[in-house]
Amino acid sequence: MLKLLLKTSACFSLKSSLKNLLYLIFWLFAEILLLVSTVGVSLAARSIYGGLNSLELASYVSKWPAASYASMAVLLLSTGMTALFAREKPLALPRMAFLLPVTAKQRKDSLLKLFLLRLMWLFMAIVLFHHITLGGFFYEKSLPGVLTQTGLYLLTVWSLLLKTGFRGVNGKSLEESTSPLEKFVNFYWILFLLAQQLALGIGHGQQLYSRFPLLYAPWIILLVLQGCAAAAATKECLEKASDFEQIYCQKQRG
Amino acid sequence: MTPLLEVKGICKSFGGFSLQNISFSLEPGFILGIIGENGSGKTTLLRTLLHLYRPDAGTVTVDGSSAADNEPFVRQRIGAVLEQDFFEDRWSAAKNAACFGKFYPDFRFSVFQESCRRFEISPDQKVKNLSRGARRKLQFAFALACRPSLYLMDEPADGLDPGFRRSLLSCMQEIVESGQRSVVFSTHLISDLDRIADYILMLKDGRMQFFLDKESLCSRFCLLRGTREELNALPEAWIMGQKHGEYHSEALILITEENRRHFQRVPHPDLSTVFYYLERGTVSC
Repeated sequence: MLKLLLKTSACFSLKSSLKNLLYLIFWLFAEILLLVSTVGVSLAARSIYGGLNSLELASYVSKWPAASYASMAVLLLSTGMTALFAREKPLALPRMAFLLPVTAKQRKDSLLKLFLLRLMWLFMAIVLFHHITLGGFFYEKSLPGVLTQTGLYLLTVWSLLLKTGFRGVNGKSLEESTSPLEKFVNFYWILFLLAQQLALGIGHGQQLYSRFPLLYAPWIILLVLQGCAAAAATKECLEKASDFEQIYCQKQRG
Repeated sequence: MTPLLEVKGICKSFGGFSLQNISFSLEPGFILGIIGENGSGKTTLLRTLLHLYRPDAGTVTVDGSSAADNEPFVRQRIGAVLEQDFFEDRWSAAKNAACFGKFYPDFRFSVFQESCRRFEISPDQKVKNLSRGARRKLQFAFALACRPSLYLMDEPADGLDPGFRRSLLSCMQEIVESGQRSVVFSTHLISDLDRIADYILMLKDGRMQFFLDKESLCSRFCLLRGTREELNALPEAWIMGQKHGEYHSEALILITEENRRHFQRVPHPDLSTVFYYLERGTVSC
């Protein structure tokens, strides 16, 4: 009987590990596609023209439309795959996990997966943001062009707000986030996005970047801060993962 | 009979508040009502029973198993209706039920659908669009579909219209009819306790005032009327609460072996009068 039990539990953990591995491969695949598509467009344009401006990129697109559209399609596909992955039900259990009949270990695993998922969204959003910066040059400085670009930016901001650190790794909203680092990063990010939007609205983003390379600094600071916040939050998340009251009820009673 | 829920000396200190030495047991087939003022510890007690809070001392056993030792087993046997639900806001009610129901071996989606029909909530509606009362109903529908043996409900009638409150109470009675399942609920409404509770647990400042069956509760007290001087002449330990008016005074007397013979002809109070005096103590009009 004991032997049978051990065998069953071994099979169960193997099955679970294989499933997790599959998720990981799927995720990596999506991310690689995303990177290839973004970097591909960027590098191709740079190597051919040694720089970017709207006319040159428009000319690049008209020269190799298939490649451009293919890379855009890959981007959309990988975004879609990531979105599908994000909807994987057992991962979305921040509060409910504490009510469900699962062990503390399963709860911790699910929160860790949730954290990875959010990190993935963050990464994807950053790449997408950059891609849109390039994509913006497909449009001339006409009103529809500016409006479309603004729309795309708003979409990115929405994606960032909904899918990444703005709803902290342990399920807290921006208002509920307790860590000063987390709050600062979120605040900084919003300011940065607004500044970007303003800069692009006023002038030509890419020209701004090439003329003022210091503009890359906010990106770097952002990434470093996000990395620190994510690491701190993961540690906190895992430490408290099996304790409902520590996460949700510190100030409540009744 | 083995108790379905057994609580032994649980203590929980929390944010300047402490729940102290709570002990009781509940057999299957009964409804226990927990009553107390705001901040008396009802929610803390229910959350501790659910093992959302870990007790500082004492044990909670459901169906013979302690949540500290076998959490999944205990959780499978509990259906919870809490002040705030834990559902995913962006999902529909049906999607929440289908997804989270998978964790409960006895979950029946058909029961969930039937309950939604009965409680008049649309399973296809997103949870974030549901009203507070509808969310409460959704929790109840989900708990019913999980078919647990113990239902823990934190003020389940809160936010519900009077019509549905009555059907909720009927539903709670239906749950225990088979004699296999029990319900523990907290409330502010004495009328609800009067209508369905078999046992009553009263909390005050985190302490258990009493745990008694409803029938014997009122017979433990009598309501004595007289002048202020007459009542003041009684031993203080007998008086649980009193009210002094301009023309007459009355006092809630705890009947003991010592004083029983004095109060044989004095009427017993109703449930609301008992709680009125136990919560207020001395009142001057």
